[in-house]
Amino acid sequence: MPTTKTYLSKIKTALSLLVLNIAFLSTNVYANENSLIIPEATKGKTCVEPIPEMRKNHMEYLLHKRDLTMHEGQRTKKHSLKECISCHVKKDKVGEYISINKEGQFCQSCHSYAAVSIDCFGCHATKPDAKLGILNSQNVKNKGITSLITRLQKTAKSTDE
Amino acid sequence: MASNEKEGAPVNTRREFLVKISAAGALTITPGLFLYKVAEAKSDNELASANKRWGMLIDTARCADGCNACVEGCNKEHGLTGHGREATDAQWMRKVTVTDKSIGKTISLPIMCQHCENPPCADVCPTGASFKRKDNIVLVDKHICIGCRYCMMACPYKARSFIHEELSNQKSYSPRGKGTVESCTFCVHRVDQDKQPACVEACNESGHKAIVFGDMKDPNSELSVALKTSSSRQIRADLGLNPGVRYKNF
Ligand code: HEC
Ligand code: HEC
Ligand code: HEC
Repeated sequence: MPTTKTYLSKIKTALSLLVLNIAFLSTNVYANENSLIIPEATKGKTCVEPIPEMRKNHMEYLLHKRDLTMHEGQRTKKHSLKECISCHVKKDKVGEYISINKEGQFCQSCHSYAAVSIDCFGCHATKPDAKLGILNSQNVKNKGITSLITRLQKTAKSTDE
Repeated sequence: MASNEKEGAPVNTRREFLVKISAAGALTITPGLFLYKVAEAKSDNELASANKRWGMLIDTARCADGCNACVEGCNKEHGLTGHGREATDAQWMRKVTVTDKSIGKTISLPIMCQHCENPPCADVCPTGASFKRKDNIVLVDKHICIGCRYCMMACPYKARSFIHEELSNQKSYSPRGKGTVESCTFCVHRVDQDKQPACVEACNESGHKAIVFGDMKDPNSELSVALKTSSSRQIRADLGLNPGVRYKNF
């Protein structure tokens, strides 16, 4: 039973995010009824196919794309597993990516609810590739030793937290 | 080009291949240039084509003994890290030193998947996971690899590795995992985007410039020109596999 408060907040969401409203409302209703929480996408206004279609048939698109890329060398981004991750991955408090297959994360949310297990992430990266490392020689050369020290200190701080 | 042809291009005999190569050599400049143009503008949705054959020429005279740049480049690109167990750690590319004792001459060369025209790994694979793309890049479709390792035994170049342990932090463009066989992909993810394989880039950066990569079917490619104007060898040419990797000054 949604309270007036949640009802109001839903309307607010719908108004302030005109483009996203349908997706948001349906996600919320879904979440309320099933106590299933699917993390919201972090990029993009909509998915690569209509949302109801994606909910039902995302595996078909993935497997089709897999064969096309593997055997025929098709490199378009639509339906690529890398791209699903780039739009659906979340970051933690210190701005590090959280693996997409961790408990509660996008690809795991429904799957653990529906007792589906997939092996894809035994091989496929679970987050976008890391940006250039701290000790990347180019950076050190360009910005000098002081910048390196600040960066190291920053990292040390963020790992302390 | 976008056909559903099974098993890639029809398998040519070695003889047909040689005939084709010489025919390609005899083409006039105009169709050659046209081919070249098409080859340059690879878009993301263009598919691998049988009009191409990717290959490599490695100049052993330029390949320095003790230099490991290509191997390191490969390892870095694909995130190949070992457990310090040489016998089983994944290795897509390795440096080999050959000494001719009678004249006391030592040469050094990298060996990796030779991307054969007639790959024995694909012949023995029970699931079709080992296969040859239309443009002759030999790959493992790890989605259907069952890890039986017949291909590893069939490969005369010892170019394949089996992954024994669970992996983490793979590169997004190079998925790898326990229980499957893997080998050099000619950096297919780069080639599909008109880039050079990581080993070639690393070799160039090291200043040795020992590797030329390109399309053997394009008579104007740097590779075809280099193959035409110098003598090169296939390793174990006697097996009739017609590898795509050739060696010069060897
Ligand atoms: C351009 C960014 C983008 C890409 C790429 C993308 N998505 Fe989405 N996806 C979204 C957005 C935005 C939504 C809807 C809003 C939300 O759920 O936050 C969505 C919704 C979904 C949903 C429905 C979730 C729900 O709440 O019921 C599924 C399932 C889904 N995506 C799967 C995938 C898969 C699988 C891929 C890769 C083939 C993919 N998405 C690629 C942005 C993207
Ligand atoms: C044993 C390792 C392995 C497993 C497990 C695996 N893949 Fe892959 N996958 C690969 C490799 C290797 C490639 C080829 C990468 C390339 O050429 O860029 C690939 C490519 C793909 C691609 C095309 C590239 C992209 O990012 O879009 C898709 C889609 C894909 N796999 C989907 C899946 C799905 C879905 C699953 C789980 C059902 C899965 N894979 C499981 C190894 C694996
Ligand atoms: C909206 C909920 C939902 C989300 C979000 C979701 N999945 Fe699924 N997925 C399912 C359900 C339910 C099934 C099982 C369908 C069935 O068995 O008929 C499934 C099945 C699959 C399968 C096929 C498994 C098999 O063995 O047949 C793959 C592959 C897959 N999902 C990949 C993904 C990936 C990758 C993501 C994240 C990008 C993702 N899914 C996100 C609900 C979801």
